[in-house]
Amino acid sequence: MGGLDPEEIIKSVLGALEGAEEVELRNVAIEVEEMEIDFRTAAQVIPMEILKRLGERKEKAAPEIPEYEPPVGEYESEIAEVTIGATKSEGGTRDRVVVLGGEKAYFPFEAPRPNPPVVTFDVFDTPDVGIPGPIRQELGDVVEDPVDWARAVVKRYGVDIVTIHLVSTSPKMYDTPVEEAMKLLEDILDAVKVPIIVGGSGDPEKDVEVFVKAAEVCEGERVMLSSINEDMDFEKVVEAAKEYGHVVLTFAPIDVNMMKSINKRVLNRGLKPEDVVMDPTTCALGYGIEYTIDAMTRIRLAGLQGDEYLRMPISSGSTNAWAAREAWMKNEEWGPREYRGPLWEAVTATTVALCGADLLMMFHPWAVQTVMEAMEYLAEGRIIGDARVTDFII
Amino acid sequence: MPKVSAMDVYKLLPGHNCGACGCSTCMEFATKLVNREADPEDCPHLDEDSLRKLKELISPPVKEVRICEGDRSVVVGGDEVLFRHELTFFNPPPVFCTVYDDMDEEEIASKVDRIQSFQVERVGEVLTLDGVAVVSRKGDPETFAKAVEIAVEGSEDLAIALVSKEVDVLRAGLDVFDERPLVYPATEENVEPLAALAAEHDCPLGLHADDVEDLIPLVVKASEHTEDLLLDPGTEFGPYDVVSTTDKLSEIRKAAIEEEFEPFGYPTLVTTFPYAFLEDDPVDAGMRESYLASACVLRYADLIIMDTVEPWALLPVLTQRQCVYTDPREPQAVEPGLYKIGNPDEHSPVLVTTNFKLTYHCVAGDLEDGGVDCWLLVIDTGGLAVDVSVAGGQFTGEAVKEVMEETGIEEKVAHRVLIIPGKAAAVKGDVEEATGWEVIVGTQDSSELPEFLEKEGLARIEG
Ligand code: B12
Ligand code: SF4
Repeated sequence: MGGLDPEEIIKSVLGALEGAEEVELRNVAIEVEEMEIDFRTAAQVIPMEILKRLGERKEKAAPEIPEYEPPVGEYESEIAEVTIGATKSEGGTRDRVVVLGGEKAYFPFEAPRPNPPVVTFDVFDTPDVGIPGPIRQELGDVVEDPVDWARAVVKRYGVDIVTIHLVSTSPKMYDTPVEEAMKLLEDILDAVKVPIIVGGSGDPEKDVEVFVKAAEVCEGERVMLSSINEDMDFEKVVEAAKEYGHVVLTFAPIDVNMMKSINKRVLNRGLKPEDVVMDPTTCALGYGIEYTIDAMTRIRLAGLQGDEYLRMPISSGSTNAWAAREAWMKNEEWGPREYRGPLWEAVTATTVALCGADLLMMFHPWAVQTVMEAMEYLAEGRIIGDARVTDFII
Repeated sequence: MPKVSAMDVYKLLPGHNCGACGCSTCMEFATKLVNREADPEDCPHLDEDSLRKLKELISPPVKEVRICEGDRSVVVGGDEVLFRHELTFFNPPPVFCTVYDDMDEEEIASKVDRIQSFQVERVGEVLTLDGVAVVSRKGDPETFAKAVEIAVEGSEDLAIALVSKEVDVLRAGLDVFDERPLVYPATEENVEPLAALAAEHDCPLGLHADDVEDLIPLVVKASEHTEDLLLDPGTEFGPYDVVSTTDKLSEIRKAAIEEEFEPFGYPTLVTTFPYAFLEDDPVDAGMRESYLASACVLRYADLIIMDTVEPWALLPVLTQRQCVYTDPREPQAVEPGLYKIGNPDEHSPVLVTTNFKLTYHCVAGDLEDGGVDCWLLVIDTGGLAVDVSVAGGQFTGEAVKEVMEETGIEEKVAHRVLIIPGKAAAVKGDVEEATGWEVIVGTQDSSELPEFLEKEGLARIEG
């Protein structure tokens, strides 16, 4: 009877003899786990109780381990891959390119990201933008000259891409003429060989002029123009990007529908998802980060579920972390701001990256390095290291 | 969205529409139950059977587990969605800090004191720590018991975790403190005796494995003894800490919520304290702990055990917790109205701001820190910040006029001057027109406000 389940045997025997006080068995071996009762030794009489107990024993045996499949979701679509920068063979002069996006799933355990989120270092064309003390201190004198600044961050921190924010072009600031800004842009393209993001000043009119001209000046380099929104004449910028082969960053203030609306208009003018990155606004930790968490999550999920107008990589102005007082304000109760600030930036950036951001604009060296190092693993996948919590407990 | 619909819940209700539960109809009560805003026990007409069915139906896929009793009690878990925008997250993860039994007794006492007295105010809330984890480093029952004693005596409302791999050690701890402390870590090697011990003392038990799947046999074995479990899939340390740890937590939570995989239907537990041993420099350790814990707050950590008690390291974690666990269904608002800052009189300035919690607390805090005596008129923008409500049309002359009339500010001051935020400059004319008062545009940031008032001669306004 070797192949049969002992429990079944007992059950059937019990069933057949319902009501009987005693059972007599001959030539039967019943195996219950390790216990074996050989009935052949004698024409034994087994009291019902023993049989019952045998049955119970089986029920109490090691519980079953349920089958487990990691809960990998099915997604209809993939996020577009956007390349920034162009090497010699692609008609540019950069020494590398940066590829954003390409996600096939929301969580890394479902599918690692093909391209890890990329950190871009913020460089400003003037130091008069209220650079927080701890950052100024870390960067030193290079902030006086944007070209030195760009060169230093590539060399010191090994970033793969740099953003030059042409903030001084704002009429509310120094109203730097477009030509002058373009001269700086060319100097930066000469000084560093990584891909470049060209940032405006936020002035809706001046930015259009700056971006249209920058598109021409940077022909072949495939820069990203950061950023355009529905409150400006963005069509002109889109046309210039198309003509000279650049990427545009679309901006909307923490609103999925507004994000979709500008993307729709941009894509309908002939740019492809591979030419567009979107910025749904990054609110700092403690200053509305939960709104950003929700907006980015919803945008990424929509993109993965096949929404044509949200299927692009996401960019985050993680430097916004410094808008929070906890990041920069001196306060004894909170402890040294030299530690708080970089943590604030790193936590803000990492939070949005986990929610979907592919490009992180940052500027504190510790935060930049910490986050760059961590982000690699979104592409590499989960690592089980040697150090375990149980090593520190007896 | 919550998995259960209000209709499903409604079907189990008596249908009297009697209002005894505080809702006017059973359907309203059903909706509240689904949103976790009511307790099934509030309906007095449910028989035992229906009550049980109802509780089963609305019980969240992630079990709620209570640690400790009375003032020390914290509840963890209870989530039912994967993303906060789908409903809200429940039970903000408590942060426990460690003491070790190989520390001097005075050292233990003083760290416990720092944990107990830690507090930082943010946006009108006092952020505090929630528990002490007593960690065995010697493996000696007596030493451990002594450390537990000091931790319990030195704290009032902190939850307690007993952390050791040895049953004897834990038993000694339980002899000192038996009010449902968390017992941790039950691993492959010791899960049977620890689960039996936890059951005997009716304590929640924390399970630890190196990876997600390895937790399953532990859960199965432990749940023979107790259902009050927490899951630690193995916090990682190193440059991959954040990504690997949050990835494990995400996998567990997705399996629990979307696949209803029962062994993962328990709250999770994360430990960052080993960084105190792994890093030579305490600042590096604190930075690493803070970074890792903050990320885990976003991604499904239900309880965190840290070593650091430095405010700069805890502030990011506690702020992240405060943000991620705000209820997206409710505006973050304070009551509109007239607030006194300092001791205002008829010559004190009248400042206008919005009723967004963050805005109000920034402004009120800045004014108090600057020693300003003034009237703060908080208008109802539905809980939106200044520039948001200016952009969205809630910050209007009418809205200002409304609170002015309701609060009778006219009788309280001798002058007719309002100071509005710099970011509300666009509505200056509108406010002037609606109220008939003179309107002065103030600074962009309220931290510059005290100085501005002095400089512009607005600290006292003669009528
Ligand atoms: C979070 C946020 C939201 C959240 C709202 C959260 C909330 N409860 O308010 C959500 C997502 C809902 C939102 C919606 C919108 N937003 Co919005 N939002 C923001 C964001 C990121 C932060 C706002 C914030 O929390 N500030 C912090 C608080 C504390 O600041 P505050 O209230 O202004 O208070 C400070 C000062 O004003 C001053 N102050 C306050 N009171 C007083 C009083 C006196 C007397 C003085 C002198 C000073 C003073 O001191 C305070 C502390 O510094 C800003 C961008 C940014 N980084 O600022 C955009 C921003 C304000 N939003 C913007 C827009 C356009 C919108 C929308 C219209 C678009 C949309 N998304 O649909 C809607 C409008 C919704 C509506 N009103 O109906 C724009 C506004 C542009 C403009 N100025 O016209 C901004 C600037 C983003 C941008 N760059 O485009 N937003
Ligand atoms: S108390 Fe019960 S029966 Fe009465 S309205 Fe509420 S849910 Fe319905």
